Amino acid sequence: MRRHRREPEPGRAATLAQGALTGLLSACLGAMLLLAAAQIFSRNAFRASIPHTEELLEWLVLWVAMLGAMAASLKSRHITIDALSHLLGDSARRWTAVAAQSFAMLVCAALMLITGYFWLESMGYGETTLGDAPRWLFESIVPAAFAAMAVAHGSHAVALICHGRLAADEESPRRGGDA
Amino acid sequence: MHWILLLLLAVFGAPLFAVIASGAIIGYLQADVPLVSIAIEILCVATLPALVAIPLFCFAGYLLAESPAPRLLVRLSEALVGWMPGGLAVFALAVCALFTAFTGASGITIIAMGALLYPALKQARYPESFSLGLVTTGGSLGLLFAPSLPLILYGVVSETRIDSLFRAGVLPGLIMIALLSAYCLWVNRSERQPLAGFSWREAAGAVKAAGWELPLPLIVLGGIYSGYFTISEAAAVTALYVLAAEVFIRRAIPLSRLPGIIRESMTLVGGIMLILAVSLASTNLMIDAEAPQRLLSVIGEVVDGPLSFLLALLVFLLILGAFLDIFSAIVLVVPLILPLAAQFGVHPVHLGIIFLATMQLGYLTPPVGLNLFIASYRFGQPIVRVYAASLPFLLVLFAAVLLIAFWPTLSLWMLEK
Repeated sequence: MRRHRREPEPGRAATLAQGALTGLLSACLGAMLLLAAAQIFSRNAFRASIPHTEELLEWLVLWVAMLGAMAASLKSRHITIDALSHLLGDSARRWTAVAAQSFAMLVCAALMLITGYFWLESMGYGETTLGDAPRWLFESIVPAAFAAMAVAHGSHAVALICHGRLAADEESPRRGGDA
Repeated sequence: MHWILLLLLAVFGAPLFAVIASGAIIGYLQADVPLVSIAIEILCVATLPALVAIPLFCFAGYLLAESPAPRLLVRLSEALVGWMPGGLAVFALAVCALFTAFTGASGITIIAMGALLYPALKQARYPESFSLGLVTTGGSLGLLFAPSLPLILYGVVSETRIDSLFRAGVLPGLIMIALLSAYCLWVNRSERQPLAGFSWREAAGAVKAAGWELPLPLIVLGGIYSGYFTISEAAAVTALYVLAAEVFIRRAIPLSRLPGIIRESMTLVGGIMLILAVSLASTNLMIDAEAPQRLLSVIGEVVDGPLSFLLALLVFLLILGAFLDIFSAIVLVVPLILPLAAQFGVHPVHLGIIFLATMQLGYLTPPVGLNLFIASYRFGQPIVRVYAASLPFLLVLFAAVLLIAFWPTLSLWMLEK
């Protein structure tokens, strides 16, 4: 008897995670816009800069970059070269995709450990930013994002093995992150 | 051995950031440098000057792509020059360039503008193959005009003044459009009859309808060149302007769509910035290993002056552009070729314009030019047909790149003003 393969469905946790990610991205980008606008107004109206604006914008850029990278991992839309997969047959293409996703998972896990170690050290030093705010709080996005990306690429690898397609149900673009 | 494995993983679809990061990890381990340095480099990415401009311009570009701006600009083209033989084709090039300057990632232009221009050109009785080639080519025009993301990224990576790059890109960008326009007029020279009647009423209506989009270049360039805004502030003003115009005034984009657009645009930004972040680590490794000096000594044996260096550079960039995305190429290759270019007396701003102009050709270079595949997919045409349709435009652009490369004044003239 032929068994029907179950199609992967995004679970409630995955939907919630994606919603939270979109919310965080929107909040960070909104804050960047408002902060930059306030800075222009303050500079031109009062000939004075708002304290810590540049530093806060730098942190927001880091957060947007890491959250955006998480979003790219969830949808498997990172920039790739991928010049040769189209020459392969379906089965070979599937297994090279499994290898590529597994490799990405391992690298993200390694980066999580490296940046996590640095983050723990930073907590120990008690460094501050934006006046008295603990620096580690702002740096926490880096190991957290790599952890989430490792899980996302691992999920893609498992989904490719079990169902023959990505967990996000979207193929990675051949080249160039986004059309 | 591991470098071959990494190369294989890259060409079979592993994310580029993972390939670069693993190369950096292996290199740091071999050089006995603590791996924690990689974490420091990744955190340093946010402190690069003017980087804040990238997410803001990217968001503005995505908003424009979702708004009625592409439809309004095509209407404006048809109303102003649709009556003139070859006029719509020429104006289409200019409009695509303007749009790509704001959207940066050129695929968006083909999807948003090409989808409207392709039927409009066919309806105006332009040959089908010509129309297909034009919209495919138009998708990468404009990368040399402010505020294109590759220009900003080149400025960030090469530590060159971004406003200088904005100025330097104007003439070379115009040369590209002028040569392509001349080709369009030449191809359509036999068409002497007006293609449609000109209507003052329609022209005024089209200008009025695009009234919110038309001042955008003036706001960005005027703000930067008058010294009123920095690059980052111009990005914020552009994003706020587009947001206010399209979401709150025109109400063309519902508020509920905004989070989706933010997520889409920031996915691209995240992809670019992650590559930039891990590349900082690998670039430091290469500099510590004196890679640029070694490369210089190897190239110095083959190349004996600025002209032969530029020729070798063009060949290298053409090959690179056919395989590597423009953002990745900037981040990976620019730190290596900057010292070489300096050695041969090539100005870093001129190098940037050559780099981007040549990489722009990569979008159209068979077999794997990105625009060729997007156009094939978007217009439902076989890829070989898209290759053939784009080839004449590619040759014209190549001629423009030669002019830009071997006539530095084109890029540097505006800097001296």
